[in-house]
Amino acid sequence: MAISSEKKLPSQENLLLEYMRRLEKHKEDRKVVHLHLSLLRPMNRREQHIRTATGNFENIVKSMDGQVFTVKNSDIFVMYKKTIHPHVETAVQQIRYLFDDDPLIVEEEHSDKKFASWYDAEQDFDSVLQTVQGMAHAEQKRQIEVRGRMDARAALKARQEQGEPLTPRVLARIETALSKADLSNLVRRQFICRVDSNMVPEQIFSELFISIKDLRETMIPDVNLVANRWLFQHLTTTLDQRMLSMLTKTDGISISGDISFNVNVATLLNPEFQSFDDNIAAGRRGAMIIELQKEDIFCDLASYLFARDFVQEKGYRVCLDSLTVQTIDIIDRERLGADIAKLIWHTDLVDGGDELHKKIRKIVKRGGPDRLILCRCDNREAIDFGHSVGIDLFQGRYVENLIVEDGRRRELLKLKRRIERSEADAYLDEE
Amino acid sequence: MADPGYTTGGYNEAETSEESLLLSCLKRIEANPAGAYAVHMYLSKLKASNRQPHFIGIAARTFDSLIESFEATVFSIHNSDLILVCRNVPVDDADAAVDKMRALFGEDPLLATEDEAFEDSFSNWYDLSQPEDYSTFVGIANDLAVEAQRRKQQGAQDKVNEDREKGEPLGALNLAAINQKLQGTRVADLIREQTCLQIGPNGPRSILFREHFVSMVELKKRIAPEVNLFASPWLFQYLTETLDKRMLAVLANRDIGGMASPVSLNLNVNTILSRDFQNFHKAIGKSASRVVVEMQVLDIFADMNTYCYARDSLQERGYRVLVDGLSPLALQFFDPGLLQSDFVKIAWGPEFEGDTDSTRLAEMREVVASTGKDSVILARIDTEEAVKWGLAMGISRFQGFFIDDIMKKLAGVQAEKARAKSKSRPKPQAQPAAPAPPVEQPAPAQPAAQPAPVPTQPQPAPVPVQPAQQPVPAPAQPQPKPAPKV
Repeated sequence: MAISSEKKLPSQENLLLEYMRRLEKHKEDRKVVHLHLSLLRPMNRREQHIRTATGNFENIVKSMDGQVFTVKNSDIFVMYKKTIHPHVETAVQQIRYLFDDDPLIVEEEHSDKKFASWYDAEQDFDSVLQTVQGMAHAEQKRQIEVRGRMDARAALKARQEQGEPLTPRVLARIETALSKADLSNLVRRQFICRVDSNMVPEQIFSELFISIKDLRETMIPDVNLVANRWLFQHLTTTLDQRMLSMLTKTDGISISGDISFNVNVATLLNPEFQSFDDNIAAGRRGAMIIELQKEDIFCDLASYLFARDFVQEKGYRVCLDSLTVQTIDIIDRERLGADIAKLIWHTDLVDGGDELHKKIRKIVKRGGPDRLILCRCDNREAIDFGHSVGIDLFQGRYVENLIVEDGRRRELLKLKRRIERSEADAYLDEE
Repeated sequence: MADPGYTTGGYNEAETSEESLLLSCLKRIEANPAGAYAVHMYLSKLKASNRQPHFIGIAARTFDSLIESFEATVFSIHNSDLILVCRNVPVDDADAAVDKMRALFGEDPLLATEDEAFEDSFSNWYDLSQPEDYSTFVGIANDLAVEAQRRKQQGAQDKVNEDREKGEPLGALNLAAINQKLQGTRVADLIREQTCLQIGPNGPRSILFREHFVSMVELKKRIAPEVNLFASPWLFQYLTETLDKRMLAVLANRDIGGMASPVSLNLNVNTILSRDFQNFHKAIGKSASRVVVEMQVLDIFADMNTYCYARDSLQERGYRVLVDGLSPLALQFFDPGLLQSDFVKIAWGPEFEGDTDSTRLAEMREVVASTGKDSVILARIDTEEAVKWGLAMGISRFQGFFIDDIMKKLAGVQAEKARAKSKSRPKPQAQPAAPAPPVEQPAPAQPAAQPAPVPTQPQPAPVPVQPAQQPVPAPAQPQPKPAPKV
């Protein structure tokens, strides 16, 4: 028997998967209901609530007419014989009453979020299986990912691979060194491209950044600069100033075309930015995009809003940087008044399900195709995903490869034409 | 900053104050008024958070090109107002510059009014070649100068407010030593408490929890009296990671299960996944349901993935989760309900008070409703008006100075009752004479308990977004909630 009242048993998802496999052989005359308790407010899905909810199916389980599974995120799956469908409906209705003050239930009619999804085991077998597999998979992955960062073993491994974590003492040393060093050879450039369905890239603008990896290798090879988020973030304020002074000296680095660069909000309100701005040709401002991190924005919203108005008024554009699969539907570029936003590519975007895809599509549609960039694209999957939700603009290693390839193709084409021409010339000569 | 020609002068403050410079400028105009006019821009009417000195500085610089090309001067008045004095400057050019400056404050409610009405609420023009306008304007300038003088005398008192930010800024150089010191310093005696109270239409109901936090001002005195710990939000955040560890160690040894009300404490997301928290959980796990864990929105957004994991793992073990560090402003930009915490804490600020914009209030009410009105806590409550305002928004949970006062009074009443009872008893000497501070008084971390905020203070706003890691200089106002990052 797969039923278990112990919600925390780690193998619930696996038991459910196994049951699905067995069900495959006799799926006719069966139905499945998926109760999305995970969408309830946290205070409504405490253990006692889940227990009460599952209790409603007790009779069905006892009479061997169905099975109940409670997965990790509190969702409940009931697989049952078609003959008892009315009983199940009643049970689900009773559970619904339990939560009738929860927004999920209150707003169900006007929302695409539903409390229950009903399936026919035979017809919908694949989609049920997919849902269950997705859940088991996602949970597993998330745990590995987060735990992987935190536990001692992982810390040890990171230390071996990436060096000692950055400490305040080392940070002070780096800052002193940075104030004198010439960083222009550490500046990298990555293009933001429109990529069409034939994978042909068209360059829109480029991001200039100081390569942290190379910085580390030149200055302090044994130290992991990003080990502590806050120390690193502080280091970026120093890098901001170096970047601005390099951008001011036009001979330092070539800054042809539209460019973007990352700074802290506080930097925009500093004298360094003022003098950068004073030294830049007025016409250049329209070709510059200022990238800001979301956590920096929310660290001091009032300063952000002021800085945004300040730079936009001067003609710069503002880019909301590093949205993720978890924040894309929480942090709204439009409401923040940024011109562009960047979404970090991750396979979770694909696994996120229809609802997430719909949301992203809506965001792209509302803002227009030039407002959302999928960045850190490492492979073709990223581009394909982007296209599937309407994203046109991409950035990342894979895009850089596409540019190289495209360049090569053009070279070949040129060569071919030249050969053709010289052949033709030769032909004419012979004539 | 206004007129480069004047700023190089001597250092006699009274003579070189912007107001007195304005007056002498007006005197010169009196002798030759032709073509002169002035624009008075009321930046003092902006929201406090938009009146930070570096904002005003940038706003004043908007007139740089005008000053370069024409005979024009900008005066930065003590109350944040800007006054532009021009001679023979095309009105369109001056107007364009004013517009440009105005655009910097696009989000401010002052500018939300319709353009027609706006002219009066934000700026006023005076044709100084007309005697009538001239004398009106001189009157205004005189008032401003008198006010500036008065304020200077008050300056000594304002200094106290700046105490918190006194000293050299926290930087990488001094961080190591301070962090080291923090690791070895006693903090248990610096832990303060503040009550979060449920209030119904008929008055106080029950205590939701008592927030335990380390008084940052006391801590600063102990570990770094000469350093401004709030100079870098990021380095401050780094320090709080160390502080978390100390706090957890102290609380693990306190009998949370035996306390009269649940406890809340502010932690970094990373701390929750650390061994220190595991140990804390081992010690108090049975009382997990009596512990509320607060996390800062800045920390949450920095790594949502980890936050989601931390939140779920806390909730599964019975803890309740609170999202802290929200300002009313933040609510305009995202829906905190999406963070799926048990509570969200919004810092009440003076900008609420005057805000009568019905759309914004409706929006606010909607946010409260959609987040769940039982989940929303209004913090930094320092007046009864704030409570009334909250109740009208559908909020019933409050925290702050004003609530502390209520608690004190309640405790006083109870002590009184107890005394009355004991007096009626035959053995009066059983009662110790000391009235004793009723409950542990949640002494706020503010230095030298100063009275109510000086309302006329021109200075920065109590930037509500991040109480703990204010990147901006001294909020002119004693914060109702002391740097609450534990």
